[in-house]
Amino acid sequence: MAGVFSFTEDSSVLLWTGNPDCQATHDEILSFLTDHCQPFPKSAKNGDNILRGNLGETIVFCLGKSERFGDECLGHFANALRPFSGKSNPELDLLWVHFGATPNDDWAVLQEIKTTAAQSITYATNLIDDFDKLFGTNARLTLHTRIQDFKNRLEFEQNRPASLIRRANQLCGTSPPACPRVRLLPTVVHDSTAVDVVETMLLVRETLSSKSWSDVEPWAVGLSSLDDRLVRLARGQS
Amino acid sequence: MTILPPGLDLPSAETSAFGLIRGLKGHSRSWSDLVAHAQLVITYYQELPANQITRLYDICEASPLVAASRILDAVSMPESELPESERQDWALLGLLAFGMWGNFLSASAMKTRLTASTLSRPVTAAIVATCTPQLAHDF
Repeated sequence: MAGVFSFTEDSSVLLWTGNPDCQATHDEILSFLTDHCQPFPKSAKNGDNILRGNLGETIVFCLGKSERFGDECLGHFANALRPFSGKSNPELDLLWVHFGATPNDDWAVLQEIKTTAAQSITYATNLIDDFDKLFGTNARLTLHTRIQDFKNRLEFEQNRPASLIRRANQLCGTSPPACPRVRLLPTVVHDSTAVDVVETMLLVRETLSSKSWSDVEPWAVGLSSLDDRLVRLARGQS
Repeated sequence: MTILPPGLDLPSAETSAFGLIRGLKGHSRSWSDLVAHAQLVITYYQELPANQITRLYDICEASPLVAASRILDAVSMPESELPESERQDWALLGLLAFGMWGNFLSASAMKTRLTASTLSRPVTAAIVATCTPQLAHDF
């Protein structure tokens, strides 16, 4: 899939779009869905917020996998690989973990995603609440619980060595400033005609930085005719 | 024994937890901060190899885990003013934390905070029966 996304940077916001055009990206994502996520739902339609959100996660998963994290990262993905499940798991949307040559080279990327086809993407400011939950009082949504879930999968599903699994502990402190090897990627999937992308994502970045997250890189993924495109993807159509 | 990351002040965290549920002034720490400390301690202590588990019966070795248990005990009380659903999860984690260092009586006390709905989940029953072996016949 490599090469079907490209980006420009505006005021530290990464603006991703299709390459060479959005239809090429659509076709690659459709191929991924066909290979990994069938069956397609029988009655996909506009206005299905769960389907829209899940497909947004799938699109960003494909983007992250092909353009940034490749095969060098392990991860845990809440809904991206099950977009047609009919439900939305409230976990952290995408978790990417890199184990380097030494524990000091390890890092994690936490990615929360909002998908909106509206002309204004103010809905994306809800990303702030999503990240706040990582150090909140809901035990099911804290960063420690998410890392624990990731470790369990490494141990019981993938039979990774204990020495590797233990290293994940060191990614997670007791507050945002105690997580220096964690990068946040607040991400919006939006229609390419949206008007307030950069300013909204800058607001998200500034707010998260003010909460002492030291490494925040906003992403915005703009695709043409997004609502229509998502319905076609859900129906297995090009 | 277990190497915890630097900068944790667990005695202070435990004191703050008790201060918060008693409404005492001068405790500026939040529940989210305190439960993050408790979860971090549990995360590190669970890495103890199975053949060394009895070391946790030594109160000196287990003292950070003791603090974590007490923080979770406090946060799961109604006085924490957290939503009931959140307190249920913390009570279950607190029960687990007490069970980790063999304090089955306190684990049993934590069980009394769990609602019938929480206890009815099969996975919860397995956790409770493991951490309160004296009550295992109830399950």
